[in-house]
Amino acid sequence: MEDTPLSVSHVARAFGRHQVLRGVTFAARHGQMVGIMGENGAGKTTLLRIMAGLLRADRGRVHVRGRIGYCPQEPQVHFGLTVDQNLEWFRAAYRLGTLTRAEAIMDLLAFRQHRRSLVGELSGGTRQKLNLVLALMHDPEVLLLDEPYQGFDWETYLRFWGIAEESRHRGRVIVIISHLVFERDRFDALLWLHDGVLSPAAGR
Amino acid sequence: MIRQVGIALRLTLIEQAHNRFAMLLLAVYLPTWYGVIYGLTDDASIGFQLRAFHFFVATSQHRLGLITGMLNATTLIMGFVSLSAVRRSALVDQRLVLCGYSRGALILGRLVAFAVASALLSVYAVIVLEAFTPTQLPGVVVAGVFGAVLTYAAIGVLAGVISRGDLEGFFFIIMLSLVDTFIQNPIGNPAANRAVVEYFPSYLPMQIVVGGAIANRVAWWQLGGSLGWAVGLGVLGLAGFWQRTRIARLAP
Repeated sequence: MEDTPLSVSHVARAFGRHQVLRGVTFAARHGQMVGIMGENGAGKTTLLRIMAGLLRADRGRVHVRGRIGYCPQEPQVHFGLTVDQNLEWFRAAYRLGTLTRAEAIMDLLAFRQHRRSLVGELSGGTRQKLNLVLALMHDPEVLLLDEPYQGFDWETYLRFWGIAEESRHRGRVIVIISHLVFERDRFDALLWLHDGVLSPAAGR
Repeated sequence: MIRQVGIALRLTLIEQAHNRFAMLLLAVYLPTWYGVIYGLTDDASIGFQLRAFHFFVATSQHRLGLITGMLNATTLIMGFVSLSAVRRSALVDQRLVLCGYSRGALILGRLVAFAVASALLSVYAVIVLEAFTPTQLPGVVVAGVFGAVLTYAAIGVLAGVISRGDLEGFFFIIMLSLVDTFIQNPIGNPAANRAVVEYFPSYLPMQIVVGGAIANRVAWWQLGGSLGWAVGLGVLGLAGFWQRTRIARLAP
């Protein structure tokens, strides 16, 4: 358990009669990058929401050691506020003294110039950058990212991987959910969610 | 906790100020609506029953129409503002709680922000009203409008929490405000003097506003009753808010 900041055991969840997850089990060690793939509607987002603590599982357990950084698929930010004001909300939530890490990630993603812009007036890709910064600004031990590079251009996509690699080298656990994985080599483990259970994604 | 309440209050107010449609309604719709009502009514005399004092006060249709229009417009605007704020922030509120924001601080900050916005809207609406018709006790009129607006802020929160879509919520608020304020107005509505009007949320605000604007009288217990509507509905909205920001497990 010491080396597994994230463990998921026999997690099941149904919505009405639709059994989405039937018994998902996996664990991630320090510094491990795990990819979870699956078709649309396979239950990937449901699984991530359960891991993040937003949704209750009908059965099974999720054990997380340390802080969670959760990046939802759609940007869940205040569209009627500026980037800076959104950072202020989450700085208060995380009880951070400074925004040093947030600013460093903003520099890496090249969108610091938008700090005073209203989020509602930003492009979809820039909103997604903010969505990601809000998940990473407290340097969490466990990163749960749902389609994190959706809407990114190639340059930003590569910069995202730079941030992810740097976090992994510092021992952070990273779980990335996606319906498309372009570069399998980047992951330590690639899992396939199908029919409510996880299996190794070799050859898919 | 107190710091988080302060941040929630300030940022909620800033977000409301960025609501351009609401600002447009304030800047254009409210004075235009007053003007339309003034143009549609005349100087003919009409009686309004002040139930706390057991008498009818005589006034002009101009003045009574403007007062009813003010209550209708302000309740609509505030109901719209609180409903849209609640619906737009639904997911991000839950995310904030997941990230460690105190649920109590978040909800308290948001509700106090609605109260502050209601007070500002009430003062603004009465200032604009003064340009059309002078009132005898402007402070009492503001207090009466505040009771109505705060009640509709609570109704907006409640509608935002329980309605499935924006449209249902907006339709509910528009219809409620129209019916509620229309039946208080004796112009074209003989039923305004019947006891049934007492059971509607705008009844006490209308009584307070007419008493302060026209009859130079105030029954403060009516303000307490009016705020009672707001508090009662606010508690229901708070319960919905509490449920909506629930997460399965608090973040460590």
